[in-house]
Amino acid sequence: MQIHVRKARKEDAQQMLSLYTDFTREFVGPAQRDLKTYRRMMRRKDRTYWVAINEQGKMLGYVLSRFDERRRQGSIDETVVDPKNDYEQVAKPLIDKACNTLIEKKAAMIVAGSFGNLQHEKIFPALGFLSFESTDVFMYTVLNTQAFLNELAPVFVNRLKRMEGWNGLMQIECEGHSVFIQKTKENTEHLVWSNQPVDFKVTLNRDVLIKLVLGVADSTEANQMGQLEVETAQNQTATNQLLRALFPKRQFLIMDYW
Amino acid sequence: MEKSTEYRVRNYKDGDEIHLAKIYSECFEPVTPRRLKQWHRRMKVLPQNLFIGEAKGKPVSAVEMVFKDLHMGEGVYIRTAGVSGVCTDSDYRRKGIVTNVMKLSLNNAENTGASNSSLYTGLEIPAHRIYSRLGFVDVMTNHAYVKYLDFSLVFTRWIRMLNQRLKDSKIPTRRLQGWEKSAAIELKEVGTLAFRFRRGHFERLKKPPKKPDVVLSTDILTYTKIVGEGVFDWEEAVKTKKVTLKRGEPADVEVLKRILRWTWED
Repeated sequence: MQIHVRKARKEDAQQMLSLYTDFTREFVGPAQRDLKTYRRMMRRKDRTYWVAINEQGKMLGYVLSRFDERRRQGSIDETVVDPKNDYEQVAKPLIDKACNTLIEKKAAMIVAGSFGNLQHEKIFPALGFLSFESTDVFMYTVLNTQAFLNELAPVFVNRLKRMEGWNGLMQIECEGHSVFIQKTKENTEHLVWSNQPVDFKVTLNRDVLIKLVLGVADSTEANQMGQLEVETAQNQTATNQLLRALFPKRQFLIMDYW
Repeated sequence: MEKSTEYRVRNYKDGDEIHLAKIYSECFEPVTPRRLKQWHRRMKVLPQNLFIGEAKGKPVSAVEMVFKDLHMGEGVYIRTAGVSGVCTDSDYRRKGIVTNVMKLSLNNAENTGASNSSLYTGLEIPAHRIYSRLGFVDVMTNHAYVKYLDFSLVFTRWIRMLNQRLKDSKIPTRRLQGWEKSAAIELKEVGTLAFRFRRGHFERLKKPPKKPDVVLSTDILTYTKIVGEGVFDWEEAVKTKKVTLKRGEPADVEVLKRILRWTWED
């Protein structure tokens, strides 16, 4: 596949937004963006967006680079690739182009970083970058557990919908607050409350809930380590299957800073 | 915690940016009131979401709230109250002011419908302990990549940045008072780089002095971890010979460590 890299134009904003939306769908953590976000970001003079185009003129990915003239420091801030393509294959020429342009501008150093993009480990060291774990950390807390569980209910409903071979009432309880999901052959729905017998109950604390929901902890491991409690008549295999369906190990990724 | 100070918490009002810029410069990096206003505008920080701790009639602490919708999977986005710009004037630290301002801003976020909150911070700074006590959980650390193209210039810029930071920071200014020493850093891949601190100012030395007060030898990756906020255990690095202290009184080595990491609070 031939990839052509060029500077982004104003009219690319819509395609870049679509790329971002498709790319971030498989991750937990990315912030929602709109067209305005891109138009505003593209207006900033210290930033350059490079886009990768294939032979058919289709946009495959983009990279955002910045140059701080005063510090003579370049940075690669964001790399987004259409998930239908190989990340490395598209990202490498983009990052290469961004780096070369920063070198032409006489950058004394180039920095890059990512909260959760594991693919970068294959790309940056190969381009001569030093790689290390930073002390910058993303932290999260739940302010209102019941509201948080209610907001998460559609996530659990969708995940249980796809779980074949299990029907029943599920309860996830966190520090005295619960969310109930009823799954039948025909329907999967969020219940406000129920006193029916629960077929599968998961009890956990806020810290474990956060880590499971954000995909940075493994639900079956948490169960084995006693970090969560499961009450069910199901055997261990079915229990693990249900836990994995509810809290699949998803890659956490965040690209927006505040 | 030290003795209590009388203070009040209010929302931002025009003119606060002058005091806030000083506090931000001390806590983060040098910033002007104008740039601070631009930042607030760009991040859509509304006055009602900017909380100010005020003592003796001037802002001494601040917390901002930026609202974002984060993807929780299955196409579902949940609004998060993003905390940022948490800072306190160093003369008013350890009095519980910022903890209280944080609590009030989190309560406000909850009252306006946010079920959760999130933030970015550093693992080694005192604020991390405050956030942990307020219920925040570490989710993920950042993985950093650095490529040097002109290390000599990077070093010169680093010295300049130290001076800029020093201008706004009261704690290091106090701690460095009377410490008039030179230091040489031997980097295996680059050579020896030296600086001295004299009359309240860092100065790069083109040639290392014959007898620097502190001499430290390391490789470029370890050096990058030290100054670039990487996860780094000094004792472990000395034990594994990643860092060799060739010369220096323990007290001077301690000061050099603080300069390199720019961590001045215990």
